[in-house]
Amino acid sequence: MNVAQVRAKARRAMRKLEDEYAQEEMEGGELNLVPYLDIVTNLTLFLLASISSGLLGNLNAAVPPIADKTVGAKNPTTVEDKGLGMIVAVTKTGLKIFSIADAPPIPEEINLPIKANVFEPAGLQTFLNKLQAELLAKDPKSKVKYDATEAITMAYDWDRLGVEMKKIRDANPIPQPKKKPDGSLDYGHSREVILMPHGEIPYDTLVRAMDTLRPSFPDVMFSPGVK
Amino acid sequence: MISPREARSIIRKAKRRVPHGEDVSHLNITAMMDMMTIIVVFLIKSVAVGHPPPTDLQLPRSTTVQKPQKESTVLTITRTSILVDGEAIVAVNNGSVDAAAKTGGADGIEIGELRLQLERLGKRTRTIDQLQGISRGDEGLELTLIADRGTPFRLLHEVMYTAGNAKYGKFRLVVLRPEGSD
Repeated sequence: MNVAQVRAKARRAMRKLEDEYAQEEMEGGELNLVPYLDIVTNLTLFLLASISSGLLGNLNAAVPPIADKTVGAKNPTTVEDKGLGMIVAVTKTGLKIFSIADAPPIPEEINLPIKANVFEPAGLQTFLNKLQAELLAKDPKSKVKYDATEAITMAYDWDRLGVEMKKIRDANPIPQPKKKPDGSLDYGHSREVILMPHGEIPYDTLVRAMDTLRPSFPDVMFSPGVK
Repeated sequence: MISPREARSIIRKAKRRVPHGEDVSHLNITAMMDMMTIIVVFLIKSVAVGHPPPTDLQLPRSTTVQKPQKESTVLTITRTSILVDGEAIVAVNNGSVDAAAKTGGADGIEIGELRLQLERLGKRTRTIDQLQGISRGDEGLELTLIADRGTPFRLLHEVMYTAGNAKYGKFRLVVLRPEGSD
């Protein structure tokens, strides 16, 4: 065998090997998934941003259960069962704090009058103008514009309500809770307050009332309202 | 002439010169693609399940730091309608429901069509709970309430009363949390 023959044989061997590798790549080769991965990654980030709850919050509320007369007859309700029996009425003339407990924690009803007659168009407009003037006095560049709902909410004395409810809570601390069989804590009715709004009171005002009551009475229940 | 030994050596050298394909020049991203595809499908489904927020709805602001919790039936009160899980049930006009839609007319407080819809959904929820072995005791079902900030309490009360009659005893009110409360 001469050198030329050996080289020819070597070339054939090389070609054969190259063909084998090419065949292997054809059979076991992968698609280029990188562009698809880019798309999917962008889509994932976009969807994650879309479904995030953002700034939404949650307030728990309930309605008082309807009393069962037969149970009441067998097990008369005690003051302890009722908690403090606190009720906060949001009327068109202001806030009223009172108790339905047999031994009320406050000697008499507390009245917190509304700052303006916002349920009359003229009164509402006057109060809106006043709020807007106060805002501009604080910040002349302010572009905030109050609406009727905000004006109604701001017409109530929430600071006083918070102070009065805190006083009641400080004088009557929440008792130690009992442990339920499922491990949760049972505070009885000690944390409860019933919110009794007038039918025309907007939802925004109710949420403000709940926010004010929550530090002292975390469990807010809605009553059917006042006429 | 060359010897067979030299010939073999030349062939070996030639073989070595042939590129040996790619060893591990890139990662295998197929598994990652599988994972990403599953996540995308899940996210698309999650987005599709959430109903688009109605345009005639402005939520009230609250100081609460509690975030929306587990999913439940969603009842939305906008300025123009009451929706259950995104489906319009009753029309709202000037903050009230038409007397004809209420049981007992103008003085009634139960919204008939709303009760039927909530009862249907409640029945379905209870069946699912039963299959999953979940017991709710006396608490009743939960309702997530999304209402426009100007909704009068009268309408809220009618909705809550109707929901109560359909065995929904707990309400989660959806509000806007203060910024930076995460």
